Amino acid sequence: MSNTPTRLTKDKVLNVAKLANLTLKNTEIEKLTGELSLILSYVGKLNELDTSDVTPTNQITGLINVTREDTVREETVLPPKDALANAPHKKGDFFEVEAVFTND
Amino acid sequence: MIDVQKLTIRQATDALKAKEFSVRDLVAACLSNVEARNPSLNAILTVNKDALAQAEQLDRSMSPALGSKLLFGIPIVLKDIFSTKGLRTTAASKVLENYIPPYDATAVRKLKEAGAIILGKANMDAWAHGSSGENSDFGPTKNPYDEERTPGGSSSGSAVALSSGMSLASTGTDTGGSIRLPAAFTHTVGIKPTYGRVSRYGIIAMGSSFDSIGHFTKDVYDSALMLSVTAGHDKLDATTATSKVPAYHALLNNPKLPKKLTIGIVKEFSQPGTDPKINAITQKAIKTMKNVGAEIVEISLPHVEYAIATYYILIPAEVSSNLGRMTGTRFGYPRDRFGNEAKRRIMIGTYTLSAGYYDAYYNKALKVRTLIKQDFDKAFEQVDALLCPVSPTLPFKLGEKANDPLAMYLSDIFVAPMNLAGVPALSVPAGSVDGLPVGIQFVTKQFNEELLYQIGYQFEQARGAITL
Repeated sequence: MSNTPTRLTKDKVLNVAKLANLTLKNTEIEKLTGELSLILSYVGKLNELDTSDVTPTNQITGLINVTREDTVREETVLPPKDALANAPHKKGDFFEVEAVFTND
Repeated sequence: MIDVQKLTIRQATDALKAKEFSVRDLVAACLSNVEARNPSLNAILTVNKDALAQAEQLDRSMSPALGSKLLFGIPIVLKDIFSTKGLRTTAASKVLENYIPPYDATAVRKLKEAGAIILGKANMDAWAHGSSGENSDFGPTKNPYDEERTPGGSSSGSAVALSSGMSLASTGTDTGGSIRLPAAFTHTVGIKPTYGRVSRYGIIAMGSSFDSIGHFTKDVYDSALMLSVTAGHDKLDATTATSKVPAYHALLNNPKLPKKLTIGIVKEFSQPGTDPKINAITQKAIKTMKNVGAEIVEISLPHVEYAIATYYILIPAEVSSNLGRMTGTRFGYPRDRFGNEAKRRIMIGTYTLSAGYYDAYYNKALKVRTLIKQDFDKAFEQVDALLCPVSPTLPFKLGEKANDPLAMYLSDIFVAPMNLAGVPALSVPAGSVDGLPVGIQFVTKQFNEELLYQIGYQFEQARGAITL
């Protein structure tokens, strides 16, 4: 991260969109590129701070290694009918999704 | 007709016990206000069609005088980010326009067990991304004090439902100020509890290490009462605290207060961008606390100027991860329905988490989070509580900041730091400017809501009435 303003390229934006599983319309790419560049430039402000001796904080609860027994918690179990109730495509007791593997 | 807009939970409970009106009467009055005002205010997305029937059932089932249910018969609106079994839950996004959860969030279950009636689901910024309600995929919510202005966000509909007489309380989430800002803009009390005080199970996740589950009420007592219901350890949320939940509402009158109470004023929050009329109200609030005997101390949060930058690295990162599950395969519609702000945040998050950028942005921000948390820890070694403004501006006009994402982000300048540190904060009405509400917030160290409410209550009593 440098102190100069960030200027994303269109290619970079398209690459990030692919990673994010987002399809961007041509009309939005330029606007988004501008907005993201502005935001990334602003957050680059953190570079002003020397954090070489600082440990990162992932969470602020103070809790460590909260575990539970490896048993079924009935209150979190849904019968197949309920679990599939919102599915746009289903087949029997399964969610129907796009094929992951192709034949080539 | 019951004047719901003027009624508190405590007053309603007393009236129900005295049989001045029934639960059905109360719910009917709320629904009547929804019908009258929602077309213009757009606070409610989904009304619970069974609310009246549920009210009648409560009237039949048991006398509130006998019951120990703290919220018996109280009509409550839920921010549409709380999963409600059988009742549509959208997070105000077109992606979830048709989603009906098969389960209740823990907080919802607790409210129901306490006897509350769920009246409906409130509008919000989609996925809780916003500070004004303007990022809703179903149209913005209007501020009842001036319908050309925003009510604040992201819990926009929740704040407005309460302040316009549609409910006696509303739930919200505060990840970067999303309860406290709308509370300040709508003349209501908003609590952001300590992260981990209230279960996040069943609440559509925005920033999983930031989301704080809270609520809006008309006064401090009602707020404390409601937290007594929602707070507590939950097996289904590993980030919840196991510490006991006091009956916050029963502990408001602390005879030791405010003798020996020290209140810190954050030096770095005096900055030129704040409206001078808001500064005047903050000064008045400080004077009120001084008059009741509190000692006012200037303290410093040296890294707080970096809070927004830190927040807007960490939050989009967590958002991009959480919204990864919205694929339209098990529920909801496909990702092409995401709105502009959601897309911005997903993109920023994906970028900063990707190979080559993770250290420079995400890891860097985690380190600055440490510094900001340490600032708060050190402050609370010196003082019992902080008194801070909530917003640098009065409720702004619809459209004013909507086309400038960065300007919108900077609305959170006084509220986001508390989410980075995980500390609780209470937004309380403090005054008005030209008929527009202004709030202030008190902040204490983690899990010190008991003291937070005591101080808030003291202020509320000493402040007196506010004319709007």
